[in-house]
Amino acid sequence: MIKKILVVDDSFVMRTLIKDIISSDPDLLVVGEAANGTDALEKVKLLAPDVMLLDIEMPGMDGIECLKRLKLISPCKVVIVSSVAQVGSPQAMEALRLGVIEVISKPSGALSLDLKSKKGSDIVKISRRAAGLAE
Amino acid sequence: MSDFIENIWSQFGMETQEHIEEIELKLVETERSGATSEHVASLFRAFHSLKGLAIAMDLNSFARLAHRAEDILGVIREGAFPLNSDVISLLLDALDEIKVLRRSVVALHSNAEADSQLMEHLAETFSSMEQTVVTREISCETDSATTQHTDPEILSYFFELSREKTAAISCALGILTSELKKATEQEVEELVARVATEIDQLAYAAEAMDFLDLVKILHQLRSALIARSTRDYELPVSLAARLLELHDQLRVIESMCGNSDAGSNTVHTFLGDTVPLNHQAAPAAAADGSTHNAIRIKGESLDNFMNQIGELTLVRSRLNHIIHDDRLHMLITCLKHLKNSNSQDASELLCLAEEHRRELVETDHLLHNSLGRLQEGAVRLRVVPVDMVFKRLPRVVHDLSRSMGKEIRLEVNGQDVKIDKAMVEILMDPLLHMVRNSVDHGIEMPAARTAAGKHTEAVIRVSAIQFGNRIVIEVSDDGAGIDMEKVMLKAVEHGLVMGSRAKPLSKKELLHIIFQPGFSTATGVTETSGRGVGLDVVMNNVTRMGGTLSVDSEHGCGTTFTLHMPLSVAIQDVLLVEASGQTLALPERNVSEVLDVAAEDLLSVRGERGTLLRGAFLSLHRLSDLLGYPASVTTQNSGGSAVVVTNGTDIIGLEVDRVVRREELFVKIVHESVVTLPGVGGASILGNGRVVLILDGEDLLRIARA
Repeated sequence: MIKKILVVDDSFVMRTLIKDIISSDPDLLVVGEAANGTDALEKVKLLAPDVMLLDIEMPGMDGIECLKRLKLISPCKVVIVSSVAQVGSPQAMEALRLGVIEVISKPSGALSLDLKSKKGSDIVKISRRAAGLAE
Repeated sequence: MSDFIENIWSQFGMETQEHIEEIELKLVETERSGATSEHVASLFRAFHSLKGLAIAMDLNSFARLAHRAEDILGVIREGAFPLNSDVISLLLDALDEIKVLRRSVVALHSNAEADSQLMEHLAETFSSMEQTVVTREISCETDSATTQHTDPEILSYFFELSREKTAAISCALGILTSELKKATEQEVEELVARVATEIDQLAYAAEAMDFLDLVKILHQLRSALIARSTRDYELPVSLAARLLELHDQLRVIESMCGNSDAGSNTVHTFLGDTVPLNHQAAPAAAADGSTHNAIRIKGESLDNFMNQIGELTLVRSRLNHIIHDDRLHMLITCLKHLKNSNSQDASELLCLAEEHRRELVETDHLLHNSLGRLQEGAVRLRVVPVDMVFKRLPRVVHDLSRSMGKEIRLEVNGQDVKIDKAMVEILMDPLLHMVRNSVDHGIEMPAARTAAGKHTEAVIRVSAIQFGNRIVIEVSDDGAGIDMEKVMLKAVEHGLVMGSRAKPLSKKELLHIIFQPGFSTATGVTETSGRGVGLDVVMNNVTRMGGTLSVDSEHGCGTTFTLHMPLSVAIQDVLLVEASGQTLALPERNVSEVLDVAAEDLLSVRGERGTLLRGAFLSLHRLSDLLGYPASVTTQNSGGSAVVVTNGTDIIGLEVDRVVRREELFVKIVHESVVTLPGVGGASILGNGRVVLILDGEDLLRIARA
């Protein structure tokens, strides 16, 4: 069954890049996007996604706050996609403690045109794992 | 390059621009009124986003630069270091470099190198800051382990959810009991399923919060609901009542607990939970979802759309032209003649022709109306608050006043007034010029201000007001004002005014001189203004866009520049007139009325031609004379039509050969050489494809007075 993905990032560019990367996997479908935590929680109620790709630094409600609230409304799995959250940073630790599947960095190198094969594969791979699909 | 990548680049351009503008504004605000934690947080976030975007696009030095700034702000965000004016200056420098990089990156779509000295400076600043922080960080680490249910914000989010759910549950159960008799099996089924879902969702949240008693009640409620063997909902309803009661108690506790530990403890005891509490007060959550509903449209697509409407307007005026064409008129006249000679066919033809004409006129009206609405809609699509222009000002004033050693406070009003997006660029130049002019020429040095008994801090006020379809922007300062004597001397010196002129110039006329090419009273050439390219260029550009610029000044008290501009530049209402066989367009905003002047109404008072308009003398001028055209034979002293032109203070009558009709013209931006022609403000194309000059009422008044 196709798994539903929600992309949460305040940057339109980032959301576009992430959606493009996800679209390379036929088992995954981006069903919605949100620009901050508040927006994301509303979208979760509406769309019931299987996996949320969540940024940490956002205006309004940030990723960590969103994560804490998400636990009250949905069993949706979360993958943190952020450039603050290098593994070992306080935010990354906090996110992992709150039960996210994995903390990965944002896509890079749109210029090289092979996003999907390079860094992108990381996002697809972890999303598949979060959705309970074979990697 | 693929469309996808192309699109990403253009979005990259937009987003980075937004972040840059926000950073600039916040830095300047911080400099003026001190740093708040919100400002620091949003500055951090903006640099952080710039970094992320740069990484995504493989722009190494752009990313490094933003990263450095982000690091510095990170330390400041932790509260370990103040955001002082040195750091602000450094960050502004970094921002300027980012702007430079951004420009080249957006143009070339590839990495550009950042200034290495600046990078070093940023790195040094960061490392010196960081040393003071290390010790703090270690001491913080231990208490970061707060648990889910102790966070007061999460608690209140839970209350919010539970309020929503309990209300839904009791409402659905209420319906279930009252409608039980009437409802079909399927409807009952659906309602039960809905209640069950709500219960599940609330139970899910309660479980996540470890509120085990609540979970127990909810499970009881759910199984009672599902296990019903008959249509008996007594039990679920009584359970729902208990739930509601529980929720009311929760609400009381919620209001009690606020942020205090005691309150939260009560909640947990009440709900049978014994986990100890040790939360800290969490920062207020700013729900900032204002942007996520917006759709981004490329400026280009919008411009295309507007151009299409412009074209449509041209097509419509062509239709209007055809309807009022002489040929149709002649046809009808001919048919009338024929009809008089008692021809049955002719009278039928006449009926047809007249009906046809009427239909055409109606269609034209309909088209005109819907075109108007379309235009309005389109204009609204591309309106932005004038703040888009104003937000550039704080930085300019900040930099200028710093470099000149003046103390200036900028006050901005009316930034919500909406303008056409295309006006942003058009307004920017004159506005910046006026503000620079104020800082440079208007405002005195602090010492001079003290000597004049003024506060050392000068004020520049920028305000916008909307009048109908025009925007009025005022820039006023409380500086030295314009020295009329100096203006006069300078004007004579530059040969702009004859020294031996009989009557002295009025204040208004003198003030007008400062808009003359090559005029400047500033003694030195400064970085900002006084290079001779001055107000005359601004004036020209403003006029070209259908605006006006005026100035008022009180020596010693200050100067006020007033800029009138249309909210949208694209379409203008004009009155078409004929003079010397040429069709010319007068902007309707300058026209107050049209008079028929009979030969016997003409007066001559002290050699000035004129007539009486409601008892007052109205001076008359031939339009062809004002424009320097050869005089047409027909109007020689025989009266005719006069268009009354005014700018609110002055009023004259323009004699024309014929008043043609009203028109809406799609104004084309024309070459400067056309605009500098006396009396001419622009050009457009008529329905019949002919070019028409759009006159400038202000300029005509000026020529008439001279």
